[in-house]
Amino acid sequence: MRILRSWWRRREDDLEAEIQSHLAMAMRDRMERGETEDQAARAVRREFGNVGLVKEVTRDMWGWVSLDRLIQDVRFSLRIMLKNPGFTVVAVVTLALGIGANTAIFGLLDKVLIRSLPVDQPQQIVSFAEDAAGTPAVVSYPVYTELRDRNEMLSGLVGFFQQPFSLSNGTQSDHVIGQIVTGNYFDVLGVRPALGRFFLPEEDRTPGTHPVVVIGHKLWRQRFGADPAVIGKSVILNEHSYIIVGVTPAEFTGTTRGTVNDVYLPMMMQAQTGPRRDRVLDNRNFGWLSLIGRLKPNISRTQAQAALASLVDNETQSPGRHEPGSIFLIDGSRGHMDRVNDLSMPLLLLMGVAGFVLLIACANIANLLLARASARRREIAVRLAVGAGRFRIIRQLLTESTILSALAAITGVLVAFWFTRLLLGFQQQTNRVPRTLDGSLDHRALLFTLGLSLLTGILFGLAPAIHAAKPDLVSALKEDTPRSGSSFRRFTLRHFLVVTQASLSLVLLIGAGLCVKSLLALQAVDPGLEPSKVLTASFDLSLNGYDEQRGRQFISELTERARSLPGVEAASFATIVAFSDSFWISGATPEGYQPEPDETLAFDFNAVSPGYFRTVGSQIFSGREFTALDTRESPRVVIVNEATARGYWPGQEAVGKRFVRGKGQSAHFFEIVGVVRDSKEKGLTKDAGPAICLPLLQQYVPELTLHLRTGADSQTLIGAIRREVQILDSGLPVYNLQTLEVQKDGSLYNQRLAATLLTLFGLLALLLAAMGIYGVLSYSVTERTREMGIRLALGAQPRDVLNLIVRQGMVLVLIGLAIGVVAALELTRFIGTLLFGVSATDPFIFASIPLLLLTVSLLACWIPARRATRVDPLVALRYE
Amino acid sequence: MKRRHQNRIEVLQGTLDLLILQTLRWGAQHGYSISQAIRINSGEVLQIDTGSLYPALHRLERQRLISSEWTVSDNNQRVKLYRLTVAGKKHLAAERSNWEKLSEAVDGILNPARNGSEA
Repeated sequence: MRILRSWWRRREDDLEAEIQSHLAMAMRDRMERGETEDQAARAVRREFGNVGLVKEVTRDMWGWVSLDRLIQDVRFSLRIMLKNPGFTVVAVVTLALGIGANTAIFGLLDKVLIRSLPVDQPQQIVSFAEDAAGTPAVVSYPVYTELRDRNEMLSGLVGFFQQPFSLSNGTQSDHVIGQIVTGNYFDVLGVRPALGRFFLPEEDRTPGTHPVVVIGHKLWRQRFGADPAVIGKSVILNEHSYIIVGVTPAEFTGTTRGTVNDVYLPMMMQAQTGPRRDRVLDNRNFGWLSLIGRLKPNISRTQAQAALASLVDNETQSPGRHEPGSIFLIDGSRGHMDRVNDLSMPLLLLMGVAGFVLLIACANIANLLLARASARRREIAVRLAVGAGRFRIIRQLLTESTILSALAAITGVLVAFWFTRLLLGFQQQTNRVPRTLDGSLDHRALLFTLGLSLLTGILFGLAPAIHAAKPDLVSALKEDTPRSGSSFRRFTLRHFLVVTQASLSLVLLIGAGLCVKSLLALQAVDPGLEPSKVLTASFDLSLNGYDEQRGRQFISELTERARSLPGVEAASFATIVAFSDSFWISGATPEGYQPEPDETLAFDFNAVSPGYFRTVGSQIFSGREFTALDTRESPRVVIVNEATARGYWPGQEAVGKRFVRGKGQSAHFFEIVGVVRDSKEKGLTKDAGPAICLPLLQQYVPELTLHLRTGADSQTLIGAIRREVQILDSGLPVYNLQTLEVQKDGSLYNQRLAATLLTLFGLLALLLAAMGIYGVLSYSVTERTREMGIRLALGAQPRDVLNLIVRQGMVLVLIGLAIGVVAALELTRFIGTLLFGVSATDPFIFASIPLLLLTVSLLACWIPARRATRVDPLVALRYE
Repeated sequence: MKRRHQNRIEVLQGTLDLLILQTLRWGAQHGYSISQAIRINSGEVLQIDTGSLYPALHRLERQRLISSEWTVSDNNQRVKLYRLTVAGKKHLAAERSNWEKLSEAVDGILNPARNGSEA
């Protein structure tokens, strides 16, 4: 760059010297002819003309492909931009907001939904589903091995199972996520270790003999400080010691999209990962493995599907519940998508909306540039007249818009970082296997930004540039102020842009209004319990090798300790947390109930300790809560919700009625002792389904969550709970420490995302549109100063002038609004599925939002119109 | 842009190229002397605007029809000298014959009867 610049400077100096020598020689000639130095100097200057202009047009000849031309254009553009700092700042900031929003959303969309797994030839990867919609199929290990060994279509087939682990090094323990994988997992995918190695064939041959583990890159960095000496060290996973043999590359986080795996264990260590798991590998009828395969070259998905389907039919002679009846092979290049599928609609919607906003911003800047180009008409005309090519002029103007958009891109990246934080801020972090959305901006997102900024630079720069490069030379050179009639063409383009802006921003604001109204409606829903008063803390006792007896002891001790903490009104355990997406669906038959032939009796189950309903604030309608007296030795009891009571004993008292679970010898009766109010804990948008609650004292479950009812500050309590758990068992990881309110908000992620971002985008669009209208009108007022002066001189009242200008602007706005309303009626149905308690054509929103836009645009029209009324007729007429 | 040279003829771009090349036919010259030569040799009829001359010189140089070098003049000033290249000589010859054909043709149209000039 420096060399280039000095070369450029030399060329400039040469030109200067050449002209100076010309002037000097001309002077000498004249003085030799007897003129005085003064006379000669003046004559020479006059004869030569404008030195700057001569230089300028001479430079134009230096060729338009050379770099020096470009540098000159850039310098010229920077000069122009510095001369108009207001314009530059407005243009850069609006564009940066648009580009930043687009980059952030693209970054997330790309990482979550678009890009392939970082594996070899991802297009060959297929994922096994049980239906065409892509519900992941699960098979047992014996079925997996038969599919793997007998198919002729796949070059490799892997099985994996994702679950949480308790990771410990003796002093510190964490809740981490891992996959139990078949030994060929990394080989088939074609992933190479960042450090160490992956599994050897012998490590996946005999059960329980090779305790080795591959750790994820993130865990390696965060837990082991990226220490290369980690290979060969041992860690404790679920109470069992493993040797670390390898680290996965940073970009590979597993085969389930939206989750990050910290550890990978070989299939043969499956029995060691938890209690009661020693018979799983031999069990043909227990489906638990997800499958991903790699197609052989030149085999299509349909071919492979047909071949595998016949294989599966042969394999599954005995119908087991978890045996897939049929196999669908779906595109697996991006891995299993079931954790992120629900995001595709909101993210695509937001991507579209962000694109919209960028378009509005481009229209705005195009408009400003058009106004500016008109102001530079004379300069451009001069350059055209002395022979600068039209293309040169366009190039110069495009350079300017490209610099603008480059500046905007740089600022936009900063905006994007902020925006990404916002996008991920609403994320739900509350599952046994949490969903982790990676939105960090990488080279793909930055490339996208670069492309976007170039595109926008051309988009908003080209029209004004082409326009400016063909002015009416004669009138421009005569320094004539164009009358509104003569610039009719320019006006239509500018008008069109204003109409577009008004309609686009109306569509966005209506969408935002609908989403906000829907979110408010959702937040106003009475959930049937009091989430803001409840703090949760989750444990997975099975991961730490607790048997039932030890588990029960832990439950009663922790409950005792928690109840004695200051600020705690009640404490109890439950296995299913309200508003989380963990669930427990099981069967039960009301005593004496005859189900229809194809009716399945399924209920949402939960197991809770005494006082649970009081803790979460659920009202018991009739009967009682569980007490410490409902034990193994006492009769089996349940509490049902209203939906169950209503559904199976309509009009009767349900308390005292009984359920049957199990068949024949193992059939048991459960007596209903209480009916609890319906709650929306399975989702605020859903009506409560039939639910049955068991006493934890009678039905032990090792995955538990402590619930605390408190009026106190939850942050101090979180610390206190950690301490209490530490005292009981320092090796037991606690997770999910948060209020139920946070959990509830997390369940509204999609809706909050849409409402927040649409509002943000809508307001941005409104601001841009207002600026656009203001810009057009103030330009027009400036151009028509003389006309206004004449009108006022001839006796027009300031009010008339005000009306004239405001009407000119409002006509455009009204056209825009009309188009916008029609477009919104068409477009809002796409967000229909995101809306709750509000119709996609809600009359309140469709009336109030245009009104808002109307008010803002009226203000934007009024300010320049006021200026028009203050025109002094004398000054205006003397102008020229 | 004021009308100062009404008695002089504006020179078209192609013609200016031809005049410059022709002027350089007899040796290297700098910009000022080229403009003086054209003015004097045309009998003060053709006045070359500097705003046309220098762009033309730089364009011809880029087209490699002329080349330039820097020397120092008697009063110690850096001076840029232009000279014809081989390509420039060829171009001049071709353009000259074109010009003569054109000129004859135009002349024939303007003065169908006789050869002569009133200008």
